[in-house]
Amino acid sequence: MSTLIVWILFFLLKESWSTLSIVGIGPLFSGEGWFPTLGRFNLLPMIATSLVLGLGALIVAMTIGIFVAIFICYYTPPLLQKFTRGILDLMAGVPSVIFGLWALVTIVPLLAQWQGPGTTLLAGITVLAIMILPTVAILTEQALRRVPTDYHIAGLSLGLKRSTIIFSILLRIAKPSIISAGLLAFARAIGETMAVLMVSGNVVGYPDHFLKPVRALTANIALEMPYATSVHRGVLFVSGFLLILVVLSLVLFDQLGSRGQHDV
Amino acid sequence: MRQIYLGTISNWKQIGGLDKEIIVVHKAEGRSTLDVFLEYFKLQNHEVSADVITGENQQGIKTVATNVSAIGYVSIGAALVERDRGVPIEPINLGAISATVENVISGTYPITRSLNLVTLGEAPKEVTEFIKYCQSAHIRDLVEEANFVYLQN
Repeated sequence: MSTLIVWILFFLLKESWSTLSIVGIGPLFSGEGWFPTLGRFNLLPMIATSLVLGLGALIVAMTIGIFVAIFICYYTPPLLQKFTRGILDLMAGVPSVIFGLWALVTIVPLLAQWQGPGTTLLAGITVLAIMILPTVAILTEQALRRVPTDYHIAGLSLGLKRSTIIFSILLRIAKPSIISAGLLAFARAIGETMAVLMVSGNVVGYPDHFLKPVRALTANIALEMPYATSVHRGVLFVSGFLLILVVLSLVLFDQLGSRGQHDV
Repeated sequence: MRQIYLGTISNWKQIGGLDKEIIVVHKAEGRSTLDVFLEYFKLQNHEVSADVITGENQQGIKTVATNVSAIGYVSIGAALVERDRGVPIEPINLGAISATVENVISGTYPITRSLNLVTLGEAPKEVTEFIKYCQSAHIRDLVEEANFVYLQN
């Protein structure tokens, strides 16, 4: 596994290095827009878009996902628990292109009826949130289950309400694992390509408005790689390398963060 | 068309249509359909004010088909195949010239390009023969079935 990752990293690094020595780092983070066939390679708008898409999806998915997990874990009978968990597992297994296709023919026209093109930042955040929600919910529920029952019993013996026990005690103890789940979900969200490509509009620009078409870094690679040559292609590799760096640092951050905690 | 893609006309009602914002569907850089389109309408890519940028023809067709106020450009072949299949899109005339395969064959329809088969350097004999086969009358029915134009030369 690690040989594979090192291999991919090495390949990306090699391609990026040769491009950067021709273009330099400056043009990749400045200049008027992304017009690669004219030599304009400003990646900043797309980097910002990927981050906003990921964060937006994360906020929505965490909010709903944590509540779904709490609901399954503490407020449902065992049979319904199994059923809901099954649905979440199913959702987690659906290929991203299916989500993209579905969103393109349902969410996008819905948004288009309200205003504008429909293929927007909001559509992207929505479909990403739906995609990472099962991951967040499943991992959070697992984290909650791992909390020793002693805490729950202690809370009951203090005469606390169930909701107080859950939110003030159990959730706090499961927090490190939940944050872990969040980081993982965020990494998945910024790495998502197909669904984002189909519903976000792919117009390069800063994500300053929800109903604006935007282009993510991943979608850019998928869109332009088949037809890119020489320097253009090289810059796409650099953007891919950047993406991997971001994901790797998230994973590293997660590992370091959970080092000092007693594991739940 | 120029004004729609430049953004100076942004609502269909400005040219006698419904009161709806025009959704301009454009193509990603590097694709020849984009180059052919820009060349004919004398546009520079950075001047175009697009609402959606698509990759393959299918994505463009799907975007226009699901959006009543969208306009885009794809290859005639792809569009006609989908239209005949019942997808709610309609090819627009260029002035008086309708977008049909006949008009492409006769040369009346002005926005056309030829498709190329490309090899890296000098091709081996088998490849050259295959290329000849691909230009021969043997495959004419396949070409016309896809609403492309068979070139007799």
